[in-house]
Amino acid sequence: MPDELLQGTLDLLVLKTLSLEPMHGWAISQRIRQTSGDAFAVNQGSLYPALHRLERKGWIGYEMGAADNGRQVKMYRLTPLGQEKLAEEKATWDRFTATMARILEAT
Amino acid sequence: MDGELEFHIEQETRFNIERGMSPEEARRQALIAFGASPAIVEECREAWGFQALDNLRRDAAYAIRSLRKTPGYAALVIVTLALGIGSNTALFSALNSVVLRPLPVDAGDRIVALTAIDPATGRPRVRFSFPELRTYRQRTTLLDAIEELHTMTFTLLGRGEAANVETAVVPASYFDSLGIHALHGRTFVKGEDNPSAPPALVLNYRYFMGSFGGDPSVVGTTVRMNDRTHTIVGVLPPLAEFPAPIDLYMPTSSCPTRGNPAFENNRKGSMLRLYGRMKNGVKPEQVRSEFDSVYRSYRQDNRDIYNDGVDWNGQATPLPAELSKAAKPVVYFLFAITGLVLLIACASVANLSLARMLKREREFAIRAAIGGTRARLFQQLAVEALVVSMSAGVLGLLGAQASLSLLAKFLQNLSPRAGEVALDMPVLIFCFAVSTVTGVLFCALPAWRSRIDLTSAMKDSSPATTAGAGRRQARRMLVGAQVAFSFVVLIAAGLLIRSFVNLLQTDPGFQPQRIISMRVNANWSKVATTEQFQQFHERLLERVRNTPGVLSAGMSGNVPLARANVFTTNLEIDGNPGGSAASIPAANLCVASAGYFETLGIPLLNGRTFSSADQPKSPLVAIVDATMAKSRWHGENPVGRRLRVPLTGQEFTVIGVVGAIRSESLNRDPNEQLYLAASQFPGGTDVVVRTAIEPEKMIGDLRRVVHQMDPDQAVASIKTMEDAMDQNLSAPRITMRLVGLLAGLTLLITVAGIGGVAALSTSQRRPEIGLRMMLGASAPGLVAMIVRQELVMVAGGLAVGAGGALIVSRWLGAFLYGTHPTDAATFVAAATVMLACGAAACLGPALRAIRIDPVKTLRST
Repeated sequence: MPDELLQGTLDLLVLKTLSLEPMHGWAISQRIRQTSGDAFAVNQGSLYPALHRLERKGWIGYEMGAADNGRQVKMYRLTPLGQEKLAEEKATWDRFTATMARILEAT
Repeated sequence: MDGELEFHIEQETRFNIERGMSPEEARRQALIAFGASPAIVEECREAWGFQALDNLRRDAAYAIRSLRKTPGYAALVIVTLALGIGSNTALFSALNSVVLRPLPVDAGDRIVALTAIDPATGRPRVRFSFPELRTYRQRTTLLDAIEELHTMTFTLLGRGEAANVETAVVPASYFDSLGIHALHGRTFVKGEDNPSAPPALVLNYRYFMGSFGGDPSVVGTTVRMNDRTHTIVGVLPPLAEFPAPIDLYMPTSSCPTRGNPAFENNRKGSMLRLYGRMKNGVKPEQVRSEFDSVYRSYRQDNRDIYNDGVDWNGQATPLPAELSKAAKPVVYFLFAITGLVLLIACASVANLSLARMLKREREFAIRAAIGGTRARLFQQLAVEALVVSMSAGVLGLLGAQASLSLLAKFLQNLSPRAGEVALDMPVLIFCFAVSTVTGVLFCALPAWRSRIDLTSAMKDSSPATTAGAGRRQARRMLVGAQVAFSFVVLIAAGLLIRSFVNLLQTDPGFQPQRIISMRVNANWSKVATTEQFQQFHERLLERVRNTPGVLSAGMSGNVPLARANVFTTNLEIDGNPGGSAASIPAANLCVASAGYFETLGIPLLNGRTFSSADQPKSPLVAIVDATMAKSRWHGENPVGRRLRVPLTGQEFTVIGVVGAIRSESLNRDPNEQLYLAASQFPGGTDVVVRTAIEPEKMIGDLRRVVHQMDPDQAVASIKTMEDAMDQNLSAPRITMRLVGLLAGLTLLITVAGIGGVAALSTSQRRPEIGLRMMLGASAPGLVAMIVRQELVMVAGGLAVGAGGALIVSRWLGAFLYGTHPTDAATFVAAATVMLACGAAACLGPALRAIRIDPVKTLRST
C-alpha cells in the first residue's frame, strides 16, 4: 500500500480498530493486518507516531495495563471525542471514495 | 517509551517464530518491519520526553555560533556584565570573609571579648586584674573558659639587630580554649606556663614569614628575649591578629610583670584582656547579662579600687563582630555601590539585547511559523543568555581573584581579618547565582517580551512598527534607570572626593614638616626602676639633640597620629568633681618632656611649657590644651589653677595652655588634652625630632645614636611625620579611589547606553530629519534639537537619581569629613557632568544624522 495514502488513512484504521475494544499498540497492528487479510501491513514505525498524534489531539486515551506476558503496556481506547471524529472521518472517506469512483467511471 | 516499543518488537518476534522463522531471523524481521527512520525516532523520542537534554545541548551550540557571528555584541555584553558581576563578587568575598564568617578557629563562633563600657560617654574599659579574672571564672556559669591575654613589647636578641617584638602573653590553656592549632610544631601545652618549665614561644604567621623567611626549621631553635632564652615551639597559621598586630606569643611565666607571683593578688593591676568561650547553645546576650551582674557585684565588693564614679556596664561581644566593627560599615557601603554597578551593567546589557532582537525578528518569526512553541523559543533565548552570563561570571571571578590582594590591603587598616579575604565556596555560589539570575532576567526577558510581529517581520519592513515603538520605549526607560543609578554612584564619589580634600587641608595643630618620630621601648631587664627609666630617656634625648642635623627634640608618651596609645582619665577641676556623670571632666592624658611642644611647633598660648625647673621633687605641674581651657574654665586663664587626677590621687598646678592638636586621627576633632611633665612622670617612649635636612636621610643616623647608647636597645618604629599622616589618610584615600573608579566605569557604561539609544532613535527619525532639512532647517539647529530631545531622557533619569542619591548619601554621612551629605555643589557638579557626557554621547549620532542626503532619505520611505 503506497505510503502517502496510508498516512491519511492510518488514523481512520486505528480509530476503527479501537472502536471495537481497547488494546495495546501491537494488538492494533495485528488486528489491522488480520482484518485486511494481510493486505495492509502497517509500517509499525508509523504506528506509534500516529498513536501519539491521536492521543495529543484527544481522540484516543490510554491507561497502563498488564499484557499477556505480565508487562505493563499502554492500553489505548477511543474517547467520546474520538467516537465523533471516527464517524466524521468515515463519512468523509465515503464521500471521497464515491466521488473518486464517479470520476474514474466517467468516459 | 522503551517498554512499549520493546514489547511490540518482542510480540512481533514471537509472531514471526510462530510463522516458522528462527529466533534471530524473527527478531531481525521484527526490527525491519518496525523501521527506524530518524524522523520517526525523533518524533517518538519527542513524544516520550528525551528531547529536553538534546535541545539544551543544541541550543547551547547554536547560541555560541550565533554569538561568534556578532563578536562585537558578545564582547561588549560579556565585558560589561563581567564588570558588574566581578566587582560584586569581590566585595561579597570581603563581606563574607571579614564580617559574616566566623573565625577560622575551632570555637570561632563562640568566642566573646569581655569588656565594659561607660554608658554616659561610650568610653570602653578592656583591661582587668587577675583577682577579677579569678572571680569571674568562679561566678559565671555560661562560659566554658575565660582566657587572659595582654600585650607587651619585648626586645628580641640573637638574630641580627636587636628588634622590638609585639608579644602577647597568654596562659598555656589559651590556644586549646580558643581552638587554635599550630601550622608547624605545636602550641602551648598544659604546664608550659609554670615558672619551672623551659621558656617557650609560639610565632605568629606574619612574623614567621617576615622575619624568619617562612622556614619551618625555625621550630626548635632558640632566641633571647630580654634576659631569657626561649625555644620556639610552634608557628600559627594565618589568623586575624587581635587585639592588635602580634608577632609572637609567650607564656605568662616569662613575663616579668605577670610572672611575678604577687601579680595574682594585685587587685589594682588591670592589665589583662579577657576572652571567654561560650557554652554550646548559649547566646551572647545571655553571657553579657550574666557578666554584667557578676562584674557589678565585684565592683561593689571592691569599691576601694573601683572609685572613679563611672557606672561601667559589662559587655560580651562576639569576637568576629568586635574585629570587624570598623570594617562593617565601609564594606557594606562598597557592596551596595557594586550592587548599583551591577544593576547599571544589567540595564546596559538588557538594552543591547533588545537592540539585537531587532535584527533577529525574521529568525524568530520563521521559527514560530514552522512550529516552535513559545516555551521552546524562550528556552533558546534563556540558553543564549546563560551562555553569555556564565562567561561573564567566569571572567568576573577571575577579575575578583586578581583584585583580592588590593582588597586585603585596603581592609588592613579596618580589620585584623583582612588577610582572610578569599574566594571560597559561599563566594563561588554567590557568583554563580548572580550570573544565572542576571542572565535570565536581563538577557532573556527583555528579548522575550518584545513582541514578535510575524507578518511585518517577514515582509522585512522598516522598524517603525508598533512592536518597535514599544521596544524603543523600553530602551529609553532602561537608559533612564542607568542614568539614575550612575548619578547615585557619581554623587557618592564626589562627596568622598570633597571629604578627602577637606582632610588633606586640615590643620593638624602642629608643624608636620621635617619631623621624625621614633619609638624606643627601654629594655625591661636593663631599665627596671623609675630612676633608671628617666635617666635612660634623658641621656637619649641629649644624644639626639647633639646629633648633627637635629634642630630640636622632645619626648612624649603619645606622638600625634602614631599608633594610638590614648589614655583617658577623669579629672576634678579646682576641687570640683563636676555635675552629672555626663559632665565629669575627662581628658586624654599624655606625658611630655621639655622641648616637646617647641619641636612639634605646637603654639604656646599662655603661661610656659615644661622646663628643667620641673623636677620630681618640685610641685607637680600640668599643661592643658586650648580645648580644655575653653570648656573647663570658660575662657578664663587657667594658669595657676589646680586640678586633681583621681586615678593617681595627685594634685597639679596648671602652668600653661598650648594649642589643640589632632592626636588620634585627622578626621577626629581634638579631644581635651592634659600634659604632665616627663621629668615628674617617666613614661614617655616616643621621641620627636625636627631635622634641618630631609628627614628620611636622618633616620639611619638616629638609629645609630640609639645603638651607640646600647647595642641591645631596639628601635620599635621610626618614621617621618609626613608618612604617619599619609598612613592616617590611606583608608579614606583608597575608599575615594575605589568609588571614584566605579563611578568612572558606570559613567562609561551609561554614556555608551545613551549613545546607543540616541543612535537608534536618530536612525529611525531619518525621514523626519530629511524633511526638516528640505524645509530649510539649519544643521546646527537640527543637531541642537536632536541632542536636546535625547537629553530629556537623561534629565528624567537625573531627577529619579537625585532622590536615590539623597537617601544613599545620608548613609554615607559616617564617612564624610567636613562635607554635608546633601552638599549642593556636589549634586550640581555631578548633574552637570552627567548632562555634558550625555550630550557628548548624543552628538555623534546627531552629527551623523544631519549628514544624510535628504532627498535619498525621503525617497526611501
